[in-house]
Amino acid sequence: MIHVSLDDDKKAAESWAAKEGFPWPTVMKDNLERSGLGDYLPRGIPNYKLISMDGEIVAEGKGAVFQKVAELSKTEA
Amino acid sequence: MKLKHLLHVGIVALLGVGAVSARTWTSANGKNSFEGELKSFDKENNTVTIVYRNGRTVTFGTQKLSEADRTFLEENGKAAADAADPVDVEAALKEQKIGKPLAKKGILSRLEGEKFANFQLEKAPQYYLVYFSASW
Repeated sequence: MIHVSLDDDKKAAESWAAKEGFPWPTVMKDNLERSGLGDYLPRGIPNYKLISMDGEIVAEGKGAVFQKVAELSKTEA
Repeated sequence: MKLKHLLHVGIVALLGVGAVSARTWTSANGKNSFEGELKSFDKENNTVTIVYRNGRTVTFGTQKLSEADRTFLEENGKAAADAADPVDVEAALKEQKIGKPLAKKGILSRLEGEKFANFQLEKAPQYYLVYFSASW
């Protein structure tokens, strides 16, 4: 999973991630456009998107995303 | 926590931190264990490199690991190391719309201890689970 932090304050984002023990790679807000993920910015947060390597949104929203993850996991198993 | 469990499933399933390489390791005396992803296994020199969950990478002799872990390395070490070949991963990411910009240096970071440090993807996944959030 890629975590996109929309915090303006990098230290606040870092403290929160450390407190929660986030193990995920993170894109900070100042790198959002360069990361290409700025094109997928949601209207509200928190938000989950499942995006194919070609840039297609496969699922959006927590329930839909994790349902699709489960389906894909079964397919790969 | 359920959410964290689900997110972990997402990482394992989609980011290629595969079931073969991410596992619980046990010390030779059986008294200690830790979670980490196998990064490489040098059979000739009997050393293994493991990435802890906090992102820290360590290399040590396989004699420090349990017999079960050493057997695992013998059976899966080469495949796991091949899967994580950085040259192949870099080339594969460059072919992706999503992976290409993420592979640029300085775009991704990950916690090392309590600080963010630069991070490079070690796999080229087919799908990316992206979680947008903020501390506030």
